[in-house]
Amino acid sequence: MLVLTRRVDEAIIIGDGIEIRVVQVRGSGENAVIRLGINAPRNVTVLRKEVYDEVVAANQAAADHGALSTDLLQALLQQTKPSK
Amino acid sequence: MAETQAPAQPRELQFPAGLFGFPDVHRFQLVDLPGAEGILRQLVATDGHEELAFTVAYPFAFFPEYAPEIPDEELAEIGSPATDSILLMVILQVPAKLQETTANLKAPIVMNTRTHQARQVILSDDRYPTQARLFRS
Repeated sequence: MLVLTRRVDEAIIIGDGIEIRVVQVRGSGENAVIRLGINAPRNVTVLRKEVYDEVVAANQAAADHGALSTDLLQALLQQTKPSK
Repeated sequence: MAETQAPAQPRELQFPAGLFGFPDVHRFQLVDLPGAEGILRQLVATDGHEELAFTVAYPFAFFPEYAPEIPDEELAEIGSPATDSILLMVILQVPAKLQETTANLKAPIVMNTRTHQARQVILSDDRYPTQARLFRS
């Protein structure tokens, strides 16, 4: 991984048109909180990595590998019908 | 209420960007479940990935207050469909205990029903979890 040192109000440019700027640093050491400003084209998705990771994990957990159980789906369908 | 048409022929869907975690799987069949009236469907991969499948739900049948905002840039990726040409689905996690089934409201699948292009979108709205219980116990 490329590691760069930047000060507050300094920025880096990634590719053609993505700018990441250090806006504010609070605290120090492991408790430091860094606010980043991001300028990117509207078609570039910017996500907190933990959100992205959570969605990948949810998809992987939801993936049904192997034969699909029609019985299971029918049972699930029955669950969706109000029982009262 | 969800769409009420009878189960149709499986529809071939194109996911140009794949799904999150499955970037290389681009083609799925959307298979209606008999009797489900569009509330539950199966998304079954094709092109050599036939072992991969997802169970998807029509979210508004279970979460009437669900109001995901899909950015225009995301819709542009599937041909900027008009509002009446958008079908929204959410992926379910179906455990052995069916009562504990969850839906991924954070990352719905949006489909252009005219072109059959589809895309999974991560919402910026933090109200929606990746595991929302489908059934109130």
